[in-house]
Amino acid sequence: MTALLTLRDVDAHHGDLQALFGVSLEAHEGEIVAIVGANAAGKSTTINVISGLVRATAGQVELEGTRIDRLPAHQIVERRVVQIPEGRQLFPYMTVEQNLEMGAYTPAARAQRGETLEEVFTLLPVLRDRRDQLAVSLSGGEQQMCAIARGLMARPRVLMLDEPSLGLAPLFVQRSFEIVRSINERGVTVVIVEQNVHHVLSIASRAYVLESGRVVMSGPGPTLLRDEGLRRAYMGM
Amino acid sequence: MRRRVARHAPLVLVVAGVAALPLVVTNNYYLDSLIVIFFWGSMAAAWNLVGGYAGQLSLGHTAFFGIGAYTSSILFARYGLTPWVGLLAGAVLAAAFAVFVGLVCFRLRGPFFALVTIAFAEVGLITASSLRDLTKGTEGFNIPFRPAFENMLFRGKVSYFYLFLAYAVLLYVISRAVERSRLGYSLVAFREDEEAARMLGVATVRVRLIALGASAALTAVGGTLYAQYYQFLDPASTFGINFSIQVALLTMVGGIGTAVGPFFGALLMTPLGQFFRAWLGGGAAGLYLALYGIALILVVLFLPHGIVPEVRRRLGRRPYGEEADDAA
Amino acid sequence: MLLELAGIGKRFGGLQVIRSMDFGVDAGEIVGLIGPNGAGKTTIFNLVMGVYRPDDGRIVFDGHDITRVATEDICRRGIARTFQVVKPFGNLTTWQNVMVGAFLRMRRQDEARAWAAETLKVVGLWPRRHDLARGLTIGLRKRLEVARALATRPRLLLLDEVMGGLNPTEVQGMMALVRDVRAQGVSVLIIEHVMAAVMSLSDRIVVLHHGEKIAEGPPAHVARHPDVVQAYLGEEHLLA
Repeated sequence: MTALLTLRDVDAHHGDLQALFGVSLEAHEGEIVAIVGANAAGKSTTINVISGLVRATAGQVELEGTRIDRLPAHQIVERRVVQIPEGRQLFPYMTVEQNLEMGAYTPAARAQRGETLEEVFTLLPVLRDRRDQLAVSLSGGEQQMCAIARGLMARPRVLMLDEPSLGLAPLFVQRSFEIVRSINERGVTVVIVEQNVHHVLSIASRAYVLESGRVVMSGPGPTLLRDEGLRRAYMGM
Repeated sequence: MRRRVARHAPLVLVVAGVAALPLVVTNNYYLDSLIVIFFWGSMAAAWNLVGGYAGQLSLGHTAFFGIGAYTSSILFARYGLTPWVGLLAGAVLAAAFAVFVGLVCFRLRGPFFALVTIAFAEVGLITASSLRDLTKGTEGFNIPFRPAFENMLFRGKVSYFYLFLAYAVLLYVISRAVERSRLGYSLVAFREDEEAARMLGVATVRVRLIALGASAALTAVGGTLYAQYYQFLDPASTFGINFSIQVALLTMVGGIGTAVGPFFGALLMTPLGQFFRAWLGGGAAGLYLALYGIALILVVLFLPHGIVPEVRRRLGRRPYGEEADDAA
Repeated sequence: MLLELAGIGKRFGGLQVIRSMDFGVDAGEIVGLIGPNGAGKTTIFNLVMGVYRPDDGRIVFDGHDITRVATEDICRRGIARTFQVVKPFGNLTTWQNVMVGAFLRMRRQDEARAWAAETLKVVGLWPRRHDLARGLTIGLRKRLEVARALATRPRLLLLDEVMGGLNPTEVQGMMALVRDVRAQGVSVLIIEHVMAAVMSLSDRIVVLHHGEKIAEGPPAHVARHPDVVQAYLGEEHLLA
């Protein structure tokens, strides 16, 4: 089975700082793929390259065999590869519903907006209750749900989440991962970037460990979780 | 020894060449033009100490100019004190005022610093206009023409030519000395990155006060020379914002933070200004200000540090600091 | 102890950023300061350098209380630092940059120039001495940052993520440089995310998490310390 999303030998730079060195990874349809690693390992950079926010300076990114690494970011979203950025980044002075509507920005998504909104509210009823509330007034966990919902409004085939558990209370972390599982069960391929390995590796069928911009380990999530090499990759010894 | 000769030779040759000019140039108009260039070059160079090297955009330097001009002139006209000593009094007063301004303003960032310096200059303007008993206010102050060396008053232009030339050379030499010194490096470090400078132990407030004080004193002396040449002062010409803008502009065009930049700016802009003023005639005389505006826009857009650093960079040389200084 | 932080606390608004911090650096040591993002590591540097004043506790350097000393004077007393995002004097050459540091200790231009030249040679930047700082690659700019700090003749050097963005060769080079620095008698406190490097370099590691010290000790000990592993890998991580 060929992969839905592939990175092949990708390099990336921030100015003249090299952030990624020959990163290769795959996400097959219907999988949950985890990208883990310590700070500044290049995890966010990797999904920013996929999203077209950061230009790959070498290598290719392919979606279903077609290269997407030279496309502008909005066209990546049109191809239904959507990122929920780190820190949520909601529009604070818009309501929940307005934020969600903004999520259905592409023409294809906009056409199905009403239908998608209903689906999203069914998946996340709390948001239906809060639909007219300003995003800035939501709690951390509710903002996370709103951000995920906004991403879903673009009807993604691939949903990428950058550190969804950051700044959330443990209860909400648990809840977030349950939501991600539900989304995945509906057929969405999920890529999650996380520092906190416990939750994400237990649900990931495929995982990659990054260290200083390189893939140093890969394999099924639960296997990696029990590997001493994982600790070594984080701690340097 | 040979290195020192090599380093100083260009300057000596240029100065000697210029100093020989009155032997061939006898037309008063041209002599006056050169005097004006020397004058503006010196004043821009004085501004450059704090505006160029330290990057603190002062738009209030006219205050120091006016203090210098009026102090020595009042002391001369009323008390017969020779302007050669009177200029020291003006310099000291201006420096003291500068330190006060600095202490107030240095904590202000960017445009706010510039605005408050303008305000201080306006205070100077109002003071000069109001203290009529002392300054004759807007009527204007006349310096009695009693030509003699000790009065710093001369017949004809040639003596003034050498006076202003000497002052310009002095300002250039001072600029070069500062540029190579600990003070100069501290100022430039502050300009380039204040936080990094502080972490390296640069006493950023103290060095800027020193630079501002020196800049003020040197500008004030220029005020005295101006007074002695034109023998007439009034608040508008000595405390007016035109002076402040002019010295900043000439330096920014010629090259901030370089010793030769202000003089290059004066050499370039002064004749152009005169030409425009003459060409456009009476009614449109103010249009030469448009020229200055255009020059400023071009510089800011394309040559933010001025012409000299850019030319040096193109020639593959460093923009700041002279290569002749290198020991190795 | 050359540098000692005792009971240091710092609040920003309502947020307690550093809590009850005690640790030190001995003369001749390389101490690594690690911890997940937001742990407060750079804040510690800023407290030591006088950029922020601690709300509680004292900082003592070489027997003198420097808690309330101004930033400019901290360097004079012998602590120099580099920045995570490098801050070169862009329009000056490499040599001129380092001279700014040299001028802290020397008044005369020729002495400062000579000392800067020495420092450039030690750090390996001598061939690039006439290059403009803003034209240098990131690896060289990081080296310049170190050179400039060294020119101030510090007794303690604070390195803030000096390996960040360097390729493996450059990381090796920087590690060698840090070892040279220590060999010359300068103690080092280094914040670093490139774990392999900091673990290899440091005599001792201090681990911060949410503004508190959660572990301290030799690298091998800290790398296996359960609290540290949990801080990095997340809660409930099971060790093999």
